[in-house]
Amino acid sequence: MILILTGTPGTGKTTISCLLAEKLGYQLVDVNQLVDEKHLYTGLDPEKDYKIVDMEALEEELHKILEEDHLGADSDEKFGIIIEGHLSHYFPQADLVVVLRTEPSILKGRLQKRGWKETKIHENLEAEALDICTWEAHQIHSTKVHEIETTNLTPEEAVNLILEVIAGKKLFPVGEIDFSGYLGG
Amino acid sequence: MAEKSKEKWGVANVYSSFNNTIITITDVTGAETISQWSGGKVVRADRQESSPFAAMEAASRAADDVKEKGIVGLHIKVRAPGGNGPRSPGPGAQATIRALARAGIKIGKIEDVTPIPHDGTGRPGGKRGRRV
Ligand SMILES: Nc1ncnc2c1ncn2[C@@H]1O[C@H](COP(=O)(O)OP(=O)(O)O)[C@@H](O)[C@H]1O
Ligand SMILES: [Mg+2]
Repeated sequence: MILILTGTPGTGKTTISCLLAEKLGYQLVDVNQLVDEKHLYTGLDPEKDYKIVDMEALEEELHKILEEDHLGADSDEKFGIIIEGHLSHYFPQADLVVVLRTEPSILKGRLQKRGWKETKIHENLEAEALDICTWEAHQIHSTKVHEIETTNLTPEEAVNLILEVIAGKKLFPVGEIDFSGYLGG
Repeated sequence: MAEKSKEKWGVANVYSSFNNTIITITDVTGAETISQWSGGKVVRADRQESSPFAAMEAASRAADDVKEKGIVGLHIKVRAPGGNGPRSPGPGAQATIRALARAGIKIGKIEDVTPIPHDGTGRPGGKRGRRV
């Protein structure tokens, strides 16, 4: 089982994937951490203050991890991995892709706690309001993509919903969530 | 030339998401909002607000507002994920621009200013300024 957990920064990927990995006994890959450890970036964007990820190198590295761990696992049935990060949906291999969503006005509070520049917060909020991660994930993974809104949930409640999606008991197809009101719509 | 310099121009910010298309017209400095329309405002049914038809309706209402203000041309700033190509704008954005042109508005520079989600990492940018 390859589970991809994506979404705009601050939507709860790291928090939720840690809880989920523990519950399921799955291996967890934090893409941001991987990029740091393996230096999978080509430089820095000084204006926006981020490491520009080498997307091909990232994909290669994830393939390597999958191969190694797949071989190490007792059987295919037991094998489970969660790939977490706002770039994780670019990885073409997945059984399930979950996009975490948060109402931009609430997300704003979470991002302000990170001490980011106003322009950086604003760009992420616009990205959330425009469904950027959902669009991208949908283009690559189509019907494997589900969206879960965490705005009014605790991390535990969000984890339980994802478990139901994994079990096939619930579906959250894309297109139900509309944050365009944040843009004046 | 002299006449052209007297022409009043504005900026159309076009936002296209999965469920809606929004068009906000400002003056060239971006300080004053002249008009704002969305697919959701011009069609009744929720399910239709993301349709190219709704986007075109919104654009034609915006065009009326723009003409009333004596603005003859618009520079376009598109924020739109999706579409056919990996980074081409959504159908709502394309329909909006076409509808503005059809309403007799001159179309100036078209810029892609689609936001990129980023924290400590981000994907390569550099798609800004590409032609739509
Ligand atoms: N339902 C929720 N799910 C996940 N995180 C939540 C939720 N509600 C509030 N939060 C808070 O939002 C923040 C999300 O941060 P984090 O998990 O690092 O997000 P990401 O990895 O997506 O950038 C945390 O401070 C977390 O406590
Ligand atoms: Mg994180």
